Amino acid sequence: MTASKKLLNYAYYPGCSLHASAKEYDISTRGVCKVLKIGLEEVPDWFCCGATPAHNVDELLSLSLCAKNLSLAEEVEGDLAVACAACFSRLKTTQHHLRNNDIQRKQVETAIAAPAPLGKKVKHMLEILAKDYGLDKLAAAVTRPLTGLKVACYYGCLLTRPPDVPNLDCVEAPTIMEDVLNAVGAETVAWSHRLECCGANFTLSRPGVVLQLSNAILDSAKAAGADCILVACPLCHGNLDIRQKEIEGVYNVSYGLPIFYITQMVGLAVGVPATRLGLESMMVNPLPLLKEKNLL
Amino acid sequence: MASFMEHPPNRVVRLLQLGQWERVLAGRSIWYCASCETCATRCPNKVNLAAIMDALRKLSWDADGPSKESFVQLANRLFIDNIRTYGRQYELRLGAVFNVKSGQFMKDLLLGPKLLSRGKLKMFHSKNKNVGEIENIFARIEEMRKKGEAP
Repeated sequence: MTASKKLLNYAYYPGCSLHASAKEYDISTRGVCKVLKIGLEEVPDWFCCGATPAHNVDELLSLSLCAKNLSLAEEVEGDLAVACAACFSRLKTTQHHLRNNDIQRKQVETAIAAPAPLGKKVKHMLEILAKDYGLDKLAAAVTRPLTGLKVACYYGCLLTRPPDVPNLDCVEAPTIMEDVLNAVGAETVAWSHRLECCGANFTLSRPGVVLQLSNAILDSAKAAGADCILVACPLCHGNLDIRQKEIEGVYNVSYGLPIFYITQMVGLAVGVPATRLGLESMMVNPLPLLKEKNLL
Repeated sequence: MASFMEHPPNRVVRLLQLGQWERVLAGRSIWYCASCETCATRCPNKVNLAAIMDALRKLSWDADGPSKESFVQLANRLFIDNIRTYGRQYELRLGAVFNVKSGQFMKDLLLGPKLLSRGKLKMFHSKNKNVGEIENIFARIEEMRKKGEAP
């Protein structure tokens, strides 16, 4: 079998959000992988990665939860595919810490009562599409180019950070989202807030923080002439999509910017049926925009 | 996030250098950090403030600290409790218990039905089958701490 014909198979860690508030991310990830013949097998009985709250107050707990998940992932062959930016960042950070800190590794191994498995490569879906599958092959798989759609690619915080952990792209000037979007025919805009924080999990504790920060992001994307925003993180999506109407009310503005997950947009281009992209569960209705651009 | 802090990130570092860590721990700043890592990414002196913030929060957390910011602490506590009980996040419970415990019964009340009807919030949560393993991890960490073997 030649390298180009090699089948791509991954262990898949969806994470908590993708089974609930970000279910369209899960549905569209599976849809894209099915069409592109990328194999995904869900890690059995995975647990929450601990996300930000765990490492915020208890680093050992955070590292142990991620190590437990990495250990469960060993049961499935292939690199570990992760779609959520927060899970991705936590799992990569854990591997990095445990490789470089023997004391912490021993504490974690005591906590999970098993050796910490560090061999599995953790990959974000963007990386799988752009690098493993390949941009040329992705461009060749396009059946409905996203011509005429102006997209603001929003990275947020955790796709490229922390800076000391080897990550999927440059921390200050990443282009991987734009690369993928250009490969499927969309136009990407240059804008100022692609790496700014949306307020993340303050949506629960202090939503006022989220309204202010996310308003600045929406405002910047609108000013740059974007039709929509592209994200790869369930929290960014929640803040920009679910809270958009509230933001419009509080700041007396009108954005109407649909917020797409990367896999929804790629799915649209490579021929995943629109009914399998979870478009109906988005709070800002994307259908008028997609119809206007003849993409449905 | 710096605009929400009474001590912005550079002043937090300066206060620590001057040994005034009690002022930092008593303030809101450590709880108004979203762990966006922008500071650690851009600091010209390579100060890893994001890691320092984690360490400060743990200090305050362990001491049941005199912080002015209880809502963020409450949200963290409920999030971690959910992991221990269910193995995964149960977003509906997270939001509902937060509202009750923070006394904000009306918070996001109109959002709930919209999210439920879109399947973005689930009424019932399927418990992870091996949730006992998570309890073991919590218990072993507590054990290590009792013996002084872990921070």
